Amino acid sequence: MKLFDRYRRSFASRLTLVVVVLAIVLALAEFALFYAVGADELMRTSEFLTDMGVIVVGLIVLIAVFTVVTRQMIRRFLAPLDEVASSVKAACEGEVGHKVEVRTEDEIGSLAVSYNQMLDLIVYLIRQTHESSRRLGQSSSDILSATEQQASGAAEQAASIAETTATMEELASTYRQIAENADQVVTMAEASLGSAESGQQAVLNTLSAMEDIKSHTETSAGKILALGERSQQISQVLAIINSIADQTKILALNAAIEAARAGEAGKGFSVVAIENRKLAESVVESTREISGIMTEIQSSANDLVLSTEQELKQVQAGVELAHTTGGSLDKILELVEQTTVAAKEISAATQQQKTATDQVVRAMREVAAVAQQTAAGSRQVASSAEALSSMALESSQVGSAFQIVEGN
Amino acid sequence: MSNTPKNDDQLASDLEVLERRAVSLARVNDEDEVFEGRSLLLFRIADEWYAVDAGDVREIFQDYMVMPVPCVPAFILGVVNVRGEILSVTDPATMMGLGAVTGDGVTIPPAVVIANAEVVTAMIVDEIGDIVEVAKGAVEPPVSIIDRAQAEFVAGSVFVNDRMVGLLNIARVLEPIGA
Repeated sequence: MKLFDRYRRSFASRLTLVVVVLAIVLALAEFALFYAVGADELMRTSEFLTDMGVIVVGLIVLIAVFTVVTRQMIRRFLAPLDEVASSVKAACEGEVGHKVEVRTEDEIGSLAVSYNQMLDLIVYLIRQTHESSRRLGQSSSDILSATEQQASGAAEQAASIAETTATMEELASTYRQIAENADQVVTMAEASLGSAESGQQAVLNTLSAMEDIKSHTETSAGKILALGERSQQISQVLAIINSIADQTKILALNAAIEAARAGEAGKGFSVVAIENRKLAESVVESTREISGIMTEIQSSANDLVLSTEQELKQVQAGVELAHTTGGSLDKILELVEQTTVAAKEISAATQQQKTATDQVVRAMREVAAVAQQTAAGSRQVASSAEALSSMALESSQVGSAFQIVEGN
Repeated sequence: MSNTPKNDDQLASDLEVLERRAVSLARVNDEDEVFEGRSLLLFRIADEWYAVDAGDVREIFQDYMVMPVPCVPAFILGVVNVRGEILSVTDPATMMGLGAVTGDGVTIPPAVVIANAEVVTAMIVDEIGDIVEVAKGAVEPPVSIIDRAQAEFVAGSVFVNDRMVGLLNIARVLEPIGA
């Protein structure tokens, strides 16, 4: 039923059909009238059929011509409407902007004018929508990129914060390590202090022992000197004995001389003299022995004195050594004290640093929280921007659904 | 001998000495017939030992004080007081031209008092030795090595105690000056 469809869709055709049907009805009515009026006359003629045929044919031809003309006329009159209809259809299908030519000033013309105006409006609206949606899209993409940057920046920030926090924690652990080491140093320094003090005590003991040795040695030296004096005295006594023996010898010699001078009478006396001399000689011999022993004793005493001197010298050297050791120990003590002080300072400093580090960590955590908030906010913004962007996309889709045709 | 009372030990030793003396006394009488000798007192001047007849010696002493006398020959050192008697002190070494008796460093060397009929002098020496008995025939003429200057003073030599000892010529020593 294509034809039927065609007639259903085309107003012009329907109108034409209606007009033609009306014309035909009119014509038939005319014919009927004519027939009614003139039929009897007509029927009388022989050319009735021919006339009827001519009339019918003429009627048909006229109707045809009438149809065509009417159709054309209606089409021409309805052309703007067609245009409007096709323009609207095209607009519905996406092409907007087909202006309608205004041919007349009647309703169709005013429709065309109004339609044109409406088209202008629509085009303007669409353009605005385009523009707005483009701008919106741009803005939302700007916002998106900005938020992306922000997000990436926030991520970097978070990463830096994490790094910094990690570094700070490492630092804090390092400082803890340093504080521990400093404490160890203090402990070791105190132990060294103890050792050095006990060393000093040992040095003092050594010094006092050496003083004892010295005093003992001096006592020994004094005793040896007394011994020497005693042997001097003994030597003196020996000298006295020696001189007595010498004098006795002289006496004995004198006696012998007297005995010799006395001759025979003195023979007995010379024996006495000889005995005396022998006694004196034995005394001299004994004193010589004693003297030899005394010399030995004296030399032994001298050796003892010398060795005591050696010992004293060694003791002196020992005392000096002990003094040197004492000095070194004093220096060590000083250094240890300095070390302790320095270690304590280090400990205090690391404590301060640890506090500072903790503060930094706390600040970093706050910054991290803020960054998180920022990130959340920017995520919100991003989602809003996305919504905006999708809205823009929608509106741009809406806009791009219409393809504006210039001109007309 | 001292006058102090003796204890038993001293008495015992005295008795011992007296016993020995008695024994040797007995022997001396035996030896007297065999041994005819003369006593010589030995003394040393410098490195040489000399001897003098014991009969010429009066005594020996040491520890004395010499009083110098002016304007006397060099070998006369001065005078000395011996138990109240004034004796001259002579130096035999100077007399013999041997230098001077030094006494081995001792300030007062021992002196031997020699005397003859006219003169007495104390002769200082370096050291006094023993009195020895020599046989009468043991004295020999002086050894030729002795210096000529000393020759007049040394009468002979005798071998005693493993050394040659010069016997002093007392007559020459005690010869008065200018005589």
